[in-house]
Amino acid sequence: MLVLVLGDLHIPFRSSCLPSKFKKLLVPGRIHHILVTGNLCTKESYDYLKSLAGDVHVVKGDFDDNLNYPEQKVVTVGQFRIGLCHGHQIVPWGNPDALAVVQRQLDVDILITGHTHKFEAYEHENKFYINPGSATGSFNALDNEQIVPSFVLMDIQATTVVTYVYQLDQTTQEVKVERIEYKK
Amino acid sequence: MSAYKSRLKEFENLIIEDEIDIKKLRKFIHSGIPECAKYRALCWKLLFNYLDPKKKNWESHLERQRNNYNNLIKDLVIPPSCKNVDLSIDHPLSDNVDSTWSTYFRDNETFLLQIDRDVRRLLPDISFFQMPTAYPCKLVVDSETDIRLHRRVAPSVLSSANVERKGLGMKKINLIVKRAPENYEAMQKGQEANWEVVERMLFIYAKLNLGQGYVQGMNEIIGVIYYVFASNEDHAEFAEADCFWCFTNIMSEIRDFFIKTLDETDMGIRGMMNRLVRMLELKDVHVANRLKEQGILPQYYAFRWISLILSQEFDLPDVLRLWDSILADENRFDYLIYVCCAMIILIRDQILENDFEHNVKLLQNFPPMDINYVLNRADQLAESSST
Repeated sequence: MLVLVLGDLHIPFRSSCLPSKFKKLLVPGRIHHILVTGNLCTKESYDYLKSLAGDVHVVKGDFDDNLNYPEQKVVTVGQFRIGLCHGHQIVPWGNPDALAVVQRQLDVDILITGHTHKFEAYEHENKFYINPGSATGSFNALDNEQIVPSFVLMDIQATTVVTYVYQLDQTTQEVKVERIEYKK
Repeated sequence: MSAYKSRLKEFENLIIEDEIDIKKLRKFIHSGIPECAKYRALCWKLLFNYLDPKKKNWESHLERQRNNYNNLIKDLVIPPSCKNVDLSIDHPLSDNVDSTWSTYFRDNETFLLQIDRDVRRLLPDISFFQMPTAYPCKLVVDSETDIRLHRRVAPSVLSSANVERKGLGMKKINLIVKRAPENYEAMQKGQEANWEVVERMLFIYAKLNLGQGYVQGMNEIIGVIYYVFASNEDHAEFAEADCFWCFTNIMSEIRDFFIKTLDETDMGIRGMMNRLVRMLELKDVHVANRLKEQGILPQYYAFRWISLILSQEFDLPDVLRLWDSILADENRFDYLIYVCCAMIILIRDQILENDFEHNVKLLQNFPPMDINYVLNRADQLAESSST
């Protein structure tokens, strides 16, 4: 089962649109589910994602227009429980121990968060943490460094999750793909 | 002895031989296969040229074909989950023609979607296709991941729950999924519905014959064959493999009906319809003229009659009896034309009286009648042609 994970688009406030290379990759019909970490921010982005796949799950980020998204969500796919949260609520931002606390609270196998705009995918105490980064490459409030646009595609099988990471190299404008496996 | 019993005896004498006399068998079957749970499947396998008349070749041939089919399932149905791939071309979103993912999605788009929709409405009047099969494919139902074909195209929603926090207290996470039971629902683990088996056979056929692909209508034909083989007493375990190969055999003959570009040529469906019209003009010129005046082209009714070998015009038991005679025909589809002609002639009174609308409706929803009338009339027409 293919699940797309992305977030932190900040359209139109910090970026105007998704990189064209990403838009070419994301065609409707291939992916059936999308998990969004938040900060879309507007309805137009949500509608665009809805056109890619019927099943879109969004959690509220600190800049989202729609106040009705939940703050945290737990999605079950096969044997995996996946937790979804934006990450601005988890202080210090991006800290592995703080994220581990949330993982224990929600009792999930995979925790997906965003907000730092930096791609992460690591295994900690046999649980998997994913941060898809920012799909548009929009700037982060605290850091000065250049943000690499990225998103994640999860292929969930019975006991394994294969994660494909798509990153856009700013200098060469080419999409790089990496593959990470996580076994429960 | 009653007529049924004497026919049964005659039939058993024919097939007890070590080398079956196919010509005699065909003549016998023309008057119908005696109804009993074992013989129809065997006869059809002989008539589809799946089984040789020499009985001693059967075992090795059957084993080989069934193994081939199992290998096909392994190769074509199990989805890509490969380890060492060149990531620059083979990732799920890749457009590259070589990518296994790309082929996977292309198959889904081109034919799997249509196959899935069609098998879910296969012969809805009988419960057979919605029931679990007694011999599910072990590879598919026992596998850990869900690799059933319809999962690739069926729209689904992930079960999710919002996390609610009440003040400083408890957190509530409720995963609720409530769905109304639907028809043609997929079975749970370890079981497989008959329509899922048909879906798999059609998928493998389409993958092997990419030039032909899948055309709506093939599901009806394979549905009838599969029904006969799976309700058979013996060898129901291998019904899927046998049905697939018999379907391939018959498709090699009627393939031209399903290819759009051949529609207008003599080989295609147009040729067959022209034959029907010409025969009607010969046998009953009044009806033929009436249909021509009213502008009722054969495309309106005969298209479905011929391309689906009448599987939609009668109830299933009648269709089985009809197919006995049609398959027993030495020149495969001559008899089919006679039957179609007989069908029209039998309702000639109504056709001659009524207007365009009524006639089209009549021909498209053929009135229920005893199939033996139709067959007897077809026999008469065939005899008068040969004299």
